[in-house]
Amino acid sequence: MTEADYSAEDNLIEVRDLVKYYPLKTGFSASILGSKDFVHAVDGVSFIIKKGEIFALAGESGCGKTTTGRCILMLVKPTSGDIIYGGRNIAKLPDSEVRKLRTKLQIVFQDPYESVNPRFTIYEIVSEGLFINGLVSTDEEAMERVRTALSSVQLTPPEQFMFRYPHELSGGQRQRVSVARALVLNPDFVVADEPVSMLDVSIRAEVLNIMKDLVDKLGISFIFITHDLAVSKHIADRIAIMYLGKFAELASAEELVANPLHPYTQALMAAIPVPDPRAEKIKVLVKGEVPSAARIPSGCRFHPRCLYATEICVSQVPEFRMVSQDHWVACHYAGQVGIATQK
Amino acid sequence: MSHRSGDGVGGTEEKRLVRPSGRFSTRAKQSLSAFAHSKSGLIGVAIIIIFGMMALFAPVIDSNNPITGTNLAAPYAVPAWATIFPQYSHYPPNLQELTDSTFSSPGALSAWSFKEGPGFSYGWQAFPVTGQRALSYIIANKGEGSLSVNFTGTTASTFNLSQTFSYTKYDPPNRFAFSTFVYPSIAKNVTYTVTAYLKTPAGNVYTVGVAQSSPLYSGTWNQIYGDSLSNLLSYNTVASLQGLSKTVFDEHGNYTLTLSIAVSPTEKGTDLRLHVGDMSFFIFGSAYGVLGTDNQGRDIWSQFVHGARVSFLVGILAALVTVAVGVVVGLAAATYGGLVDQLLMRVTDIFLVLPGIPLLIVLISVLDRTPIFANNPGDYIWLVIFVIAILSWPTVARIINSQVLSLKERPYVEAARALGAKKSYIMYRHILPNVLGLIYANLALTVPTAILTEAALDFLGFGSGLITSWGTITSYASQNCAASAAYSYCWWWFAPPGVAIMLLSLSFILLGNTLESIFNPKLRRR
Repeated sequence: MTEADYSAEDNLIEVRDLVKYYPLKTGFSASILGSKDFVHAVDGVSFIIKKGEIFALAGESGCGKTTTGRCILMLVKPTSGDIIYGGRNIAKLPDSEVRKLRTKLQIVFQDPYESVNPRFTIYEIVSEGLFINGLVSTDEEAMERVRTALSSVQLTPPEQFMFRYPHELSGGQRQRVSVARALVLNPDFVVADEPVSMLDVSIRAEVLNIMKDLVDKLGISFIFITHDLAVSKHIADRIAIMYLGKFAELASAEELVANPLHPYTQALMAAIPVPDPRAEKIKVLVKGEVPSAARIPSGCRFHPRCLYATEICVSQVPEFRMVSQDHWVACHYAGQVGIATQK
Repeated sequence: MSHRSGDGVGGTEEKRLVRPSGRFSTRAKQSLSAFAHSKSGLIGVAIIIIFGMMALFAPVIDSNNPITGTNLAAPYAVPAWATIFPQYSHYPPNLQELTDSTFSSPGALSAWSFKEGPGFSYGWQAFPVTGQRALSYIIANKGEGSLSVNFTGTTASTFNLSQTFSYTKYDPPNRFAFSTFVYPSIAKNVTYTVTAYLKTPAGNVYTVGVAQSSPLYSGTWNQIYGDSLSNLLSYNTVASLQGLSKTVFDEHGNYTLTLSIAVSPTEKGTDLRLHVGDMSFFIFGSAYGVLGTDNQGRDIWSQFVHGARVSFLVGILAALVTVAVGVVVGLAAATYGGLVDQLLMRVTDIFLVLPGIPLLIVLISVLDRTPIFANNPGDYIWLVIFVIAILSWPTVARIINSQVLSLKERPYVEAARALGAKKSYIMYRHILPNVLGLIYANLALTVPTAILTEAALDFLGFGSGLITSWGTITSYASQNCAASAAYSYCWWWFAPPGVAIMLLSLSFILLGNTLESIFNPKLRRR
């Protein structure tokens, strides 16, 4: 199920069969006896992040995209699966070894108001990682690097921001501080966990363009977690659509937008607002709501909501297969149903 | 550095760079100014300071011993200032009725009248043997001089020494006492008695002083003593129920005190030489001091002032122990999580549901018997602090635990983890600063609990009776005031410690709430 076509030297991170279950019961008895019920947050995903690409993970709330991002950074310990980075399986490394890789693997959080300590100045927030990892020893060195990082996220002049507190900054400025905190460590790879979803639409583009510039200039790879396909279309090289802990579809951004094969992807596409009042709108292509991740439906996990589901969808788990060049989909009827056939 | 100083943002801002101390001082400044704007917080601190000074300077403020300083005035004396109220306005203060009673100079004799029978002679004499000042109203001889009385007669005879004083301004006192000392240096071939009498304006005569030994010992001071509440009751018959003192001083007018020495010769060649030391006729005040007296005539103000020490000591130390244990348990449970968390928090829950006061009583009664506490009653207070802490820590542990659990899930803590921070670093830099305010607030809020619990234990009689705490005062008051309608239910006895317990508890709650609102901005506008 891996993307064998990608040449190994291009690969930055390879994720194999990543699984994360959360115990449903956490109490006195559960802590002694262990829990039998689990939430299947991530249920076996495999993919490769290439050097210098933006890989978008899109899906509804609760589909496991954030958990996937955190597992890759080992902020959440995966239940099983491998994460290969730099020739090592970091999922099997002890905490102390993982800590040494932290500078290379960074994260930008969703909420710019909560993800920075309100008691710290901007300088302290951005320089924290430098001091923790012993990358600098004096405030002068740290200031120099913080200044560079703040400039690169266009918080200029940096001196005007360095000694302010987060509450004195706007949401967009804070989110750029968050990006600067990740960048100052010179990472290879950044997980951006819905970095613009809490921002006003007017400043989203600003932050997104900064991120895109950084990829172009610094060659950093991004995982861009979002529930907004319009945003991922704009920024990503490749897009993976997640549903209930599994990938439904994975393709390059252009291919996925032009030719969505999975009924779920088609439904998401149809939900993107079109800035043309006369454009013909396609009707809602799903029914019901996302089932609980604690009780995963049999067969294809999308079948209770799929308009085209048949017997086989209920009984058999569809294989995540490549249907055309680098276009992967998990559907028994990929290419035979939905918008593709209606066209 | 130099290039930055020119761009208009250097200077003060660079000072903030000094890592921990710089940030702390800015925060401390902010907190202080927020505190200065909180009226209730300032009121709380003011009350704490007042009581704190009282506790600190207790021995200076009041030198009376709160426990052994009995008989300072009549029992159940009202506070001196209470005489502004009409019903107390004629209560007597402490009165020493006799003048020139120490015979300090020959001229002092002129204040007295003498009636000597045949064979008596008398005169002033400097007498070198001094007695001890035992209590304020019992003085043997200060050493300035004495009245010397000699008898060399052949027939029975009497020597009377009298002084008249007026008692017109005040209501009858609750207690009076007479005392003097005589020193027989030679008593040859005589028997003699020394007795004191008091003649009322109506002409009734009461015995007010009798020798404490009979016959008197030669060559030493013998006390002639009478107390309206004790020995005089058997020398005088009083019909009225209001007591000897009230009966004797029922009238306003001139009272005459007489010290009478009656001698009978046994053989020829009599020779009696004795010295009369300092005389005292003391009316115990029914209005005394700042807060009056208790049933033993002890100064309630001094008990009150010393009680502040106990309340502060127990309150603050018990709160410190409570918060220390609570923070350690709460932090440990939240930090390690899993089984450790479950075990610690279940133990906490068990302590949380235990009934407080009964458990404390059992603990104190049991631990009381252990050698540490049984042998040294002064250590009892540590036992009280210990058991209060045992009972109070679970609340703090719960609060700290839940706060740390919530802080642990904050995105900025996860961000710090993503930066490669160790658990200890996150605890120290991100979590502790955020629970510190809560710890301070809990410290302040636990103090009243400890004060109230200590007072309750003392009130129930399980505290240390040796230590005068506010709780003990209320306890004694309730035991002795119940049947004291005659003494206005002694409001001056139980009300001050009760109000003080309330005020001090309230002040710490005000302080705690203010701290809480400063450190938790969400509560700031309430």
